[in-house]
Amino acid sequence: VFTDVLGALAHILTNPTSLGLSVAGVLVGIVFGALPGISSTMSLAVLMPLTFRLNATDAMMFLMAVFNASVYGGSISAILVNIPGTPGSIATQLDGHPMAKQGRAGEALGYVTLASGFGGILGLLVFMTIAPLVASVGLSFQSPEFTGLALLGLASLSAALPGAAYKGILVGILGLLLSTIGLDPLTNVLRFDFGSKDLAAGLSIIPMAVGIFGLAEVLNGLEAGPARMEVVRTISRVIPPWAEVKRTIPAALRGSLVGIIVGIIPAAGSAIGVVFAYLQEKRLSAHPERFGTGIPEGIVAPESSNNAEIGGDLIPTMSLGIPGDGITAVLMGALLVQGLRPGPLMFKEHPDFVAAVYVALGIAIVLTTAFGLLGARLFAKVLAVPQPILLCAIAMLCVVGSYAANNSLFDVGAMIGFGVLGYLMQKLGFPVVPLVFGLILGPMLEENVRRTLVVSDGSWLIYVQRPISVTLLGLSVLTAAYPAFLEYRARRRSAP
Amino acid sequence: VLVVQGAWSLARRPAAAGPALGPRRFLWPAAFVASLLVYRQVLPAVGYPAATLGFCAAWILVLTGRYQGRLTARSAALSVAAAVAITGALYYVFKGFVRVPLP
Repeated sequence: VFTDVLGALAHILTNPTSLGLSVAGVLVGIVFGALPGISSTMSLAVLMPLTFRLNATDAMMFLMAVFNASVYGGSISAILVNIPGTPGSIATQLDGHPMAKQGRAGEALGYVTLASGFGGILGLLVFMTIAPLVASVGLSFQSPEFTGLALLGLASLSAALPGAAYKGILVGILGLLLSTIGLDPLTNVLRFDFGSKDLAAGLSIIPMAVGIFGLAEVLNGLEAGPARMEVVRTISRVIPPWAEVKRTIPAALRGSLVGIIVGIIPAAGSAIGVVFAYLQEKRLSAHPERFGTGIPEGIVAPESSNNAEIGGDLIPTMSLGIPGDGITAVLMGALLVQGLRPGPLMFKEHPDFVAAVYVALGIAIVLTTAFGLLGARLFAKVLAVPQPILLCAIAMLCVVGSYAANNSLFDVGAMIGFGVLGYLMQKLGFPVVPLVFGLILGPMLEENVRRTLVVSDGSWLIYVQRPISVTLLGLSVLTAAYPAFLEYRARRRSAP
Repeated sequence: VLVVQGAWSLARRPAAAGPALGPRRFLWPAAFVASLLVYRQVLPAVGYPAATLGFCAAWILVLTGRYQGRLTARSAALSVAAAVAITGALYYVFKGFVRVPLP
């Protein structure tokens, strides 16, 4: 791994295009993340079409930069406006905004930047250590195990949606059904194309992700109307005193650990990690009553968790091909467009690319920290962009981005359709991420189920005759049933 | 099935659980989607620059009027300038950098 990483680092550092893309990705990512209402998933979804004509390494340089920087950027509005730019910044505002109101906005942004860099690097180190090990175990997997893995990925969605587990599963199944449109992977027979040549190639992940994560949010913004924001405009010195920074290192370590663990758990979501990190820090503190008044530990713990989670998220995505959440599902979609399927085989067949992913994330973290410290005052100015301009710019980015996938107006129509579907699903209380999970995991699930049945001569017993396969299937059942069990127990307890 | 289930749970939701979903709040998103569909239809005939400039200028003007209560000559000029900037920036990035053959 070390040699591959050094090779990738040398290649990237001597390639101005790669570095330029990383710089551009960091700048755009921070700006998008800082704007309230634009999540990291949405940022990645609407910017992903820019990478279609790049090579895989350059595409990852840009996407990793957007990923890391948008997660960080969410804290800028959390501190200055008291509105988290991304869901992962909800805990940062609890102490970040009070600190900003005390005239220490620059310092708060400094703590956020340093904590994000610290957490990001720790997450990257864990990712680099664990992912190859998981992938090497995954290399022994065959069709029955991959079936179990895909099912576990889908089932884990239900665990992330307590109280509405069945909704996650239903939407996941809808995604699976949509993935069957187009050519049958084994027999090459056309399915559900209704005579349309656009549908013959199947539904592309691009218009779906852009519509669901991009346009749907624009429609939400239009429905909500004007948002009143009181922005803290005075930004003092950005780099906090070293003695104070040193005092927060244990909080950053604990926060990072929480973030990495939450990131590894599929579909756990960044909001869970940061809230847990914040509450844990408060519980361990000698002065819990000072939390919420603007103390550095209250900023550092959730913010380091937030960025450390990226490394954790990437472990199941890259080593097993199971996206951990919406943003890694979009990232996986971008890799599929590049002709690369994340999973154990990628580590064996494309070790140079895997090394480039590590380097891309590492460079993104360094650049985000540098730009965050140097340009905090500048990035704060994006909060002044009027909402009408923002909504129209994002909508047009969605249109042009989905068109760029195949130079097809059909994809623009599909994007609009999925945008409306995503918007309606949110109104009706259905999660949207499982739809993208279903479309991504569908082909993997179908191909492996059918291959397994060919090998076993049509016998489903093969799934329970292999220890890893039966374990994964058992875990899938338990994961899917656990929230329902919790709901049942809560109802029994509340019953008179 | 999903829509019916969602509509059913909305209908059964007690008033205290959240604001009623009146049809008026959906007018803006519905109008936006309708105009996007029209935009998609006219795009091949009119071309990307004209269609996008028209769409953005119209919507930024309308939304600025909605958000500010009234539309001044200055905000109208700024809206049109923003529409030109959005159209130009996307054209440059996608046509020039990514080499997408925009209509």
